[in-house]
Amino acid sequence: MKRIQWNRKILLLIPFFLIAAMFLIIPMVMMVTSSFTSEATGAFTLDNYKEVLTNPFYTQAFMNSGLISIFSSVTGLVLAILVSYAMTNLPDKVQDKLTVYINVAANFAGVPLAFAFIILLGNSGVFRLFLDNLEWPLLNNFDLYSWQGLAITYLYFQIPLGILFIYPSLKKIRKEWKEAAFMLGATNWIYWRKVGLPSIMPSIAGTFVIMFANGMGTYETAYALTGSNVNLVTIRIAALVSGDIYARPIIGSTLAVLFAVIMIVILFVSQMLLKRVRRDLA
Amino acid sequence: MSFIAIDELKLSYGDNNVLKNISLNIEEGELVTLLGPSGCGKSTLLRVLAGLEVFQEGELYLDGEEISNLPSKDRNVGFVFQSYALFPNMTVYENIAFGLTIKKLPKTEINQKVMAVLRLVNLEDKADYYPDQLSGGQQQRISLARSLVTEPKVLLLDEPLSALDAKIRKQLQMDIRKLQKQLGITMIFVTHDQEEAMILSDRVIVMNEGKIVQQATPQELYAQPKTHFVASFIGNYNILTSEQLKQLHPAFTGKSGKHSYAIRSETIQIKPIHGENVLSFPAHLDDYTVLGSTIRCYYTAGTLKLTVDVLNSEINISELAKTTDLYIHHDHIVPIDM
Amino acid sequence: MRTKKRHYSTYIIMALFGFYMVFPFVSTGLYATSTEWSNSILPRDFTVQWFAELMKDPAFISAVMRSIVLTFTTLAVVLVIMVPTVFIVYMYFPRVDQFMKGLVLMPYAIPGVILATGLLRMYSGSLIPMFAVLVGGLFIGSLPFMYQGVRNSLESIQTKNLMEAADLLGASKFIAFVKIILPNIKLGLLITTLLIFSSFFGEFVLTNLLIGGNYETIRIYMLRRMNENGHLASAVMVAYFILLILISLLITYMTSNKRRKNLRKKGEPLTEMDEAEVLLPPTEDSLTN
Repeated sequence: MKRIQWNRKILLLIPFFLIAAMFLIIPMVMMVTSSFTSEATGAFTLDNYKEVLTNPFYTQAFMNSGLISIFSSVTGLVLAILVSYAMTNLPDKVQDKLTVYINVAANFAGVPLAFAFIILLGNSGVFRLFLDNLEWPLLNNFDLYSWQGLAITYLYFQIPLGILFIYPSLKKIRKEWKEAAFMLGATNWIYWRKVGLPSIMPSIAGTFVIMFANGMGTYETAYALTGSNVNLVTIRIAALVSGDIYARPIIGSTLAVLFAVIMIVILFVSQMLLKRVRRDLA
Repeated sequence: MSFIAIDELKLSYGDNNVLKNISLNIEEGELVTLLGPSGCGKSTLLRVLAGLEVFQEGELYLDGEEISNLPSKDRNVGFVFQSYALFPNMTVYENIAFGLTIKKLPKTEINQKVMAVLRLVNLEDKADYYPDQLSGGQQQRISLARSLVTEPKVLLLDEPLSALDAKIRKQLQMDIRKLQKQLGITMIFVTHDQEEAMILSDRVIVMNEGKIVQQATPQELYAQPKTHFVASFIGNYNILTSEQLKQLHPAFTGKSGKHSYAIRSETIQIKPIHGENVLSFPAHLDDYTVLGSTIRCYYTAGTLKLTVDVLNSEINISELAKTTDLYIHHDHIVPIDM
Repeated sequence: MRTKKRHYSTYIIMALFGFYMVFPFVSTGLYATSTEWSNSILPRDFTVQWFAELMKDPAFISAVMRSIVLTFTTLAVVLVIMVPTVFIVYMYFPRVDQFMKGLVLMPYAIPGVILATGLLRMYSGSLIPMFAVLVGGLFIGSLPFMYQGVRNSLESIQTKNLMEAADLLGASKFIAFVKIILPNIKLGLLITTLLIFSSFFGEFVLTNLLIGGNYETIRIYMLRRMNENGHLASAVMVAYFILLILISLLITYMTSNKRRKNLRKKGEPLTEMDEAEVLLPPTEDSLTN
């Protein structure tokens, strides 16, 4: 072909971009514009942001969401690395099967998960009553419908999610590297510090960000478990946009915009950092 | 006009000029190889001929027809990919029949043609196999058969043997050459392996950095490399400057304007050559390796390192002297461009 | 070294992890099949009364039906639009491909709750029915899976090469797509489809926020029952998982390729499938929790 003609194939992309515009781009734009609109007059205003940022109820929601996400992703990540490493020591066939099951487990979130934990650890949970019977006060200070309960429950889907990302990158570490390092006189510890960890560091960092974002965005599990007991951003937004009595969609939009900005900044910064890490490693 | 004519072809990706003003003629029934290091533009040139690559300037003729703006599917050229590109969801038979089915040929005719071409590549018994049940060499033969069955005007082969191991590669080189002679089909074969190019072709086109640097028969190419690049790419040459040659033998007078010279390693003799126009100089043997029919000796003459190939049958290794005189006939000192 | 050592720690870690993962599944199952379960390690009896009760509840049946309608409608829209789109972009518009790679990551940054906020802002009270908005929202939520899934499949079969080969053999682009590309990515597509199927079927966030009580899908029904009777709710969940598995098996069965099975006698692994499983972890944010 000598010249590229105007490519008619681009017409076939119209349905996709139409849907993306209708259900993603325009709604997001409208959400942003409405966050700058006065509830009373409909004029342009920054008051919504002023309100959200000064009302301790909303700032606390951000704090709570952030804390629980950090806790669940850090703990989850450590455990995911541990389990992934243990997995690589298993026979190959078992490893393949396990990844499938872990995929299923990572999908077991939301209402069913919350409920399973209620049966076990709730106020009249089986496990709790069982311990009471034995007169072990192990769970006496534990409240499932609180921050602690959320943390335990989040971990349940955060660990498999972490494994799904960490395990493949651990598998990519070549046995030859280890052997080469040992030949050159490295100990196990030196090998991991100088070769092993640096080579999976980018994927650990990337996984952490995904897990954190996942924690921040979680709504169903928290809603099913605690209703509105724990003040989280997602729960707050949902209540503001769809609640019957307290509906304040514009404030909801403002929170949502702030939330999205935080997420985008985190993802963006982490991408930048990851690029740098990769460059440094190269 | 030649069967295939490429006229002042230019192709670039942005600022990257991949093909710089290429002109080339190929006759019907010829087997031509495009030889060069990776990134020299040889595969791109082939893909241009197939209509798989967009270019900016120039003209392309196939069998008297201007084909620059003809889509690939209407060009009637066959193409063999390095990665075979067999359709994994189809059997060998279905793969080969694919092109004919598209042309809506009657079933019986398709059957005849497919079986005939399978016989040609010696894989009749594999008709109902799927590609992933065959070895690499077999897959490439099927790919060849699939391209041949539509009776293309020219068959283009893009490093078809690079993914195969040495033994099968040798075998298939022979097979392809035989097939080409038998069918009298025009073939253009891309490779980075100079030995393969030598074995296969009627004519070798050496390319470097988007330009054709030399085109010649294998014998000419070997005897008379035109440039420093060709000589070093083909290998087995000692490349010396005229100053270095003067160091060896003060009487040496080079051709005017030429600065570099290529001397094939088997033209340097360790036994005296009589007659005129012979350079001789003392050298010291550093090392040698036995390559089989030849022994490759590494000499130092003054400050220069020289490689000399000696026929194994001509000399007993134990007789190789540490210090000896080497002889070169002037005719074997080939002037080359930088 | 004569034998490969496997540390005990490996097994201890895996056992603890396995226990933690299986625990909720098992306890839900036990709860669903007992009349009464408290202060003992295992329930004292076995019953199917909760399942029987469930089957008699018309609300349950219609919740299942609604979930199925929603899931398959959305699945059809997603497949019909996304497969050709990804193919065309991958083959012919590398720049759009770069752009799309960024675009499809948006659902990671925009969890379901935020998307729902935007959609409500735009469509609540509009002429467009909320069901259509929900389908659109789910479409957006499935983008990361779908785009990466289809793209990986295309890459793994060396689509560009195959298309060029077909082109040179005289086939039109449409024929090449239908006869060569589609049959070869079928397996990869199936896996992607199953993944998004289960996330659609268990969808809660968008459905609850966009339509809520007006369109009670299985998860919403589940939540309502949860606050009424624990044993019954457990039965709902068990039924839900069984249904999920059954439909998955059905889809697999319907789209399974007999010749693949023949081929596998040679014992090669299904590399496409392995890759897809590892490369396509679920995106929790937008769909499941």
